[in-house]
Amino acid sequence: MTDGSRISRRFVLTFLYLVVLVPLIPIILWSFSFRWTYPNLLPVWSTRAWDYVLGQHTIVDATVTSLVLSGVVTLLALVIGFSAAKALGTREFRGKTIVEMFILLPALIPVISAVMGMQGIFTRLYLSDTFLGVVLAQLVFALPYMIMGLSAAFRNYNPEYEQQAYTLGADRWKVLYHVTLPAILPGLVVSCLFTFVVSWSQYLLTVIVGGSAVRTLPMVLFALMGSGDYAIASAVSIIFILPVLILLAVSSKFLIPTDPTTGKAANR
Amino acid sequence: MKETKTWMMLLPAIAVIALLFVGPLLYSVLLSLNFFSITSNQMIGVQAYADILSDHRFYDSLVFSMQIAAVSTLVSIVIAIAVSMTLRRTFVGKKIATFVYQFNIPVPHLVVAISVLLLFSQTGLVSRALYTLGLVTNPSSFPLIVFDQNGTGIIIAFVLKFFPFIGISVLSLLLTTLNDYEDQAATLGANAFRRFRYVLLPMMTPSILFSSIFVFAYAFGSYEVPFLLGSSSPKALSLLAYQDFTNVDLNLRPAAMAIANIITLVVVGFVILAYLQLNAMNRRAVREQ
Repeated sequence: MTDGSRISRRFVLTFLYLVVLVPLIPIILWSFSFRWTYPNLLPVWSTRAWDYVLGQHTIVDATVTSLVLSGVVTLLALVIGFSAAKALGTREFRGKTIVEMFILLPALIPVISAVMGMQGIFTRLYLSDTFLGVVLAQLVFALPYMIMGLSAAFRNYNPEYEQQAYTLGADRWKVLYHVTLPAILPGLVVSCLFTFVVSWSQYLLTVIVGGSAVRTLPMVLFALMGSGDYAIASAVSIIFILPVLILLAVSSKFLIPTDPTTGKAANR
Repeated sequence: MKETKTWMMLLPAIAVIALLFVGPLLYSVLLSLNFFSITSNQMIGVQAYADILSDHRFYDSLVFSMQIAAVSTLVSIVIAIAVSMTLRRTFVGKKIATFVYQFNIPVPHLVVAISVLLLFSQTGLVSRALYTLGLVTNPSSFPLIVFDQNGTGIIIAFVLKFFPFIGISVLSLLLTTLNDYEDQAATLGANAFRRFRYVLLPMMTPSILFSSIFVFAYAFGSYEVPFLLGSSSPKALSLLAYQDFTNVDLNLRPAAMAIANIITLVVVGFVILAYLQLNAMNRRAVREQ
């Protein structure tokens, strides 16, 4: 290892830590501020924002709505995407690339492209301004992430074990529960968490399809930023990234490239 | 038989996307052509497109959205390569560094945009720090980074989100397959620059191109980030569409739909270009082997 590359590594690492961690600082400081006038480097401390956020039912309600909504969306995406993910992960067939591209469409084409037309159709079907409408709208944008995550988990899965279980007299549900699910569990958990976060972060989609009927956490956060109350907006931001922290904690074990022979993080 | 089973497995997902995604896309084409006029003082036709294409606000927004998407994608690619090349080595703290690297991938764009606002606005934390150092005397002597005409704040927020997304796949590629090729090139006497330029870079390009498609498309059509960090003019294309969509004048709806369709068209065109490029690279790689 030469001195030159050690210095350049230190430079790159410092840059990395700065750009990822420094943006968290103002949010944390603001959330504990009573008043923070320019040009003070530190705020006048207070737990006002946290008292308000944890005590106000509008924010608690929005958090519950978001949790239920994204939970339902994730479960539906799992049920609808499971067999497609299995087909893409374990089978070779003609037209596979086209199918993969088709399934990726909602992840590629921006929400704004489809959401206004969607609202038009949903209005005709009496689905706009309803919880069900928002669930369906979010489902289609969550599905690509679920399927791509799950199909990656299925790539290392050998479906022949299922045949063995069938031969031993197990039915479909027993095979699913005792053979398939345990084999892909880590990938399944990470895919579900990721899909949850995708749905959890949706703003525009919920606003246009849900109107005023469904009030989620990002909608509250947007309104708070509009009103300019940065203290409360920052506290809500911290609540807003809690599921992200859970996802990161769970997935850091799986996302870091591992050495297939030892299962340890590849270190070369 | 086996083929049929495969398609049955794919059917639920394909049906949902066809009905709930492709359906709305086609419906917005009909709406943009004024098929379901509420006010009936407009005819079915391409009037909405003609109106948009003769409006300079539209061109300003188109150029603006293209610019922020292109710049944030390119800057993210460069940072992703630099960080991934560094993190593939063995060193103390590599595990934590890798964790920090992927931290921003699932963080909502909304939160990143709020961070950028609280850091870089004229009364933000950076401006306060510079005041403490005596480099800034009042908020307006701090450069306009957020709410500026060039979309600098928007680009910063996008880059914070995008470089880990592009970089993590590059890193896993570097940690697994590419190492062996680089070792071979080193044995044959290639120096570090030549190893990067002629061995590593061509092999990471497909992966970079693939993630860049997502990143570019997101930035081009994003609503939240330009809403929070952009100036009132030029507006990002998605904000222009939403503004027409929510206008009390319902005659503007077809225009909103037309803008949405143009966003779709640009993204699809970009995807096809990238796909053709990926295919050409694959063919070249096969030929060279």
